[in-house]
Amino acid sequence: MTRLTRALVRKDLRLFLTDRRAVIVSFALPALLALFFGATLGGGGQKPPKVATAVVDLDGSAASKRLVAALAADPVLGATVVATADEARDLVRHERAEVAFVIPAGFAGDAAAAAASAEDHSARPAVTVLSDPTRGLSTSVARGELERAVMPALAPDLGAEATRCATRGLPYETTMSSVGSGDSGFDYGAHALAGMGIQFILIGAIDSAVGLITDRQRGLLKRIHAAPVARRTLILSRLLSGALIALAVLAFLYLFGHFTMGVTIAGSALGFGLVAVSFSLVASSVGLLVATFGKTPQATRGFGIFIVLIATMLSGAWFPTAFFPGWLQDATKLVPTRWAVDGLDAMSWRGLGLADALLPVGVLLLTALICTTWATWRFRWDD
Amino acid sequence: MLLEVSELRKRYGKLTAVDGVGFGVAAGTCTGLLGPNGAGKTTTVSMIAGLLAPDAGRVLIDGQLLGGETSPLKRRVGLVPQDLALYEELTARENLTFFGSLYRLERDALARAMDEALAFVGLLDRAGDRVKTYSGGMKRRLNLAAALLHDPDLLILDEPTVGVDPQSRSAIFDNLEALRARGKGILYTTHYMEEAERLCQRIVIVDHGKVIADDDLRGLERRLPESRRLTVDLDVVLARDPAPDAAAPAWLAELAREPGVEAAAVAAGRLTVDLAELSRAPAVLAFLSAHGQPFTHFATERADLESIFLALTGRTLRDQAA
Repeated sequence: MTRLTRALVRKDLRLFLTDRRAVIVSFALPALLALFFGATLGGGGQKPPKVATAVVDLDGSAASKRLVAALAADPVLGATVVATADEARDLVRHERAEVAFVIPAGFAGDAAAAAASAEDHSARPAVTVLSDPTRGLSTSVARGELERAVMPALAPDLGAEATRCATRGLPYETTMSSVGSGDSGFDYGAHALAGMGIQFILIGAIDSAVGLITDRQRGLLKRIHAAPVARRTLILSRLLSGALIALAVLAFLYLFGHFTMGVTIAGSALGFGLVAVSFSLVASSVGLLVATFGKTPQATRGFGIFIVLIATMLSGAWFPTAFFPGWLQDATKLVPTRWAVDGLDAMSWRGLGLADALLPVGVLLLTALICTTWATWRFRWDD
Repeated sequence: MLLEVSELRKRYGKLTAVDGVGFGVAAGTCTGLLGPNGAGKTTTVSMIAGLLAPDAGRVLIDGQLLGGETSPLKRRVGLVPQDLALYEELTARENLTFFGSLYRLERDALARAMDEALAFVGLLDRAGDRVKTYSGGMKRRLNLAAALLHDPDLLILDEPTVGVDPQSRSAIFDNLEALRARGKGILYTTHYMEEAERLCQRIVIVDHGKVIADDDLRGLERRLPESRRLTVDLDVVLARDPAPDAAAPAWLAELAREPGVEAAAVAAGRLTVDLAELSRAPAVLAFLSAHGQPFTHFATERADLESIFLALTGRTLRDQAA
């Protein structure tokens, strides 16, 4: 390597290292992404995941009680007993349970009859499995645990017939029921619209932040400041313009999704609108906050994209949070974008009502308020 | 006085950027604010334009105290920043619409103001073009137009001709002289001394955060001995004293005591006389004739603003911006 080449290389390395944010983005971001995917998709030696499960015993027989007790004692399921099928469905719909089993009335008797039947088991009773359509893995695990528990629970009533079932087939069956909008199941299109919309709106907000810094560098803020304009007026105007653009992007995306993928707002349209407006305010206020921390457009863009990728990744925008380990699912509730994705999902394919929009809207509006207040406090007209 | 600045002070940590600055700008006049880099000009201008709150001191516009982000007095001030503070992607008219709306101009009034400002700077025919298609000079003129929309009484120009071609510079000077003739007060900061000489009736020179000179050009000239200096090439062949600089001759000591003569010295056959008033020069020449000191050539020097500026602020490089 010639002296000239060494000098050029040294210069490039020095320039790179002087931009600390660029260094962080270059090193920390890939490491964090790798950690995220490793934790989400499963590293080695993980314990089986816990599956939040509810069970309804409409039979009330000794056998069904044994089954319920077994499901409640199961280390993976730890099932919670609820009184009605509607209650169980509600738990799954609101993501308080991933799976619910409904043991029908007459289950033990019908199972015994089916086991004793010399014919086939066409009249077998069915345990209904209510599942969150985003929780395919959890549902499979829960069904496996159910299969393991049913026969030991029925066996005392079946007597010798129980052993015959091993060759003639089980005396019961399971019926799957996905709890989504109109029970139609998980709508990947609707979820992708929410996720991608949120990601690219946030990227747009970072561009807006960069624009604010560029305006400052070009003396435009100085000219605005020379007029009788208050700082809070400038911040509020940028908040509103950013939010309007974000809202327009969301509206376009869902219209596009409606005509190309048949996506509908199956839940409350008002709730959807409120979530969309409050997320738009969050995106715009995050952009403003990033702008107040940024020194140069380049550093701000790098830092901002870093924040966006982390926030998007943890929001479940790339794939549902159901894929995350339990601790991460809980942790992501601290990330406002998670509430945005969940809120949009709830109002679209999950088909939930206005009441279910209020918590996400509240969290998002609080976030927007904090970010805007912080940005107003930190904002400087000049470098 | 349209603008009165008194005892203005601003500190940044341990650095005192502005330390008791005071001066004024009358309506219909142009005052040049000059100083080396880091002298405190930009900080002073920022406080006058309401961009920066002073730590102490006052800025009065027509006798009223300027203060606060939303002070209505800001409407009486127009700022032409050194940067081309324009949105390049917008047209000239869109830019002016935005900047005019900051001063709450109503639609019709704004439209009239825009047409007048664009015509004033000679850009009316290009008003619909995006600013990024403009030349540097056109952008500078639009930068000026944006500060005129609300018809301010006081115009503050911070190095408004940086990077401008001679034609656009001349056009800007014509604009400024027209504005002054209309009664506008102008505060003009620049590093180009010839601009200040051409435009400004009064010159304020600041250095190290203090005003070190505040006078008209003639007054500043009088501060420099060079501007009142008479040099005379003596005819050593014909002189009574053939080696006048070998030792101080008697006539030289006598000349130094003459009324209006501050100092007199001879070196290599050249006599240098510093006068209280340049009008004393004929008397000195008469003195030489009377004392048998013939001469072959004489000259007086006139100090330009640049030499005055350098004499007052020194020739040390200033690299620190303030």
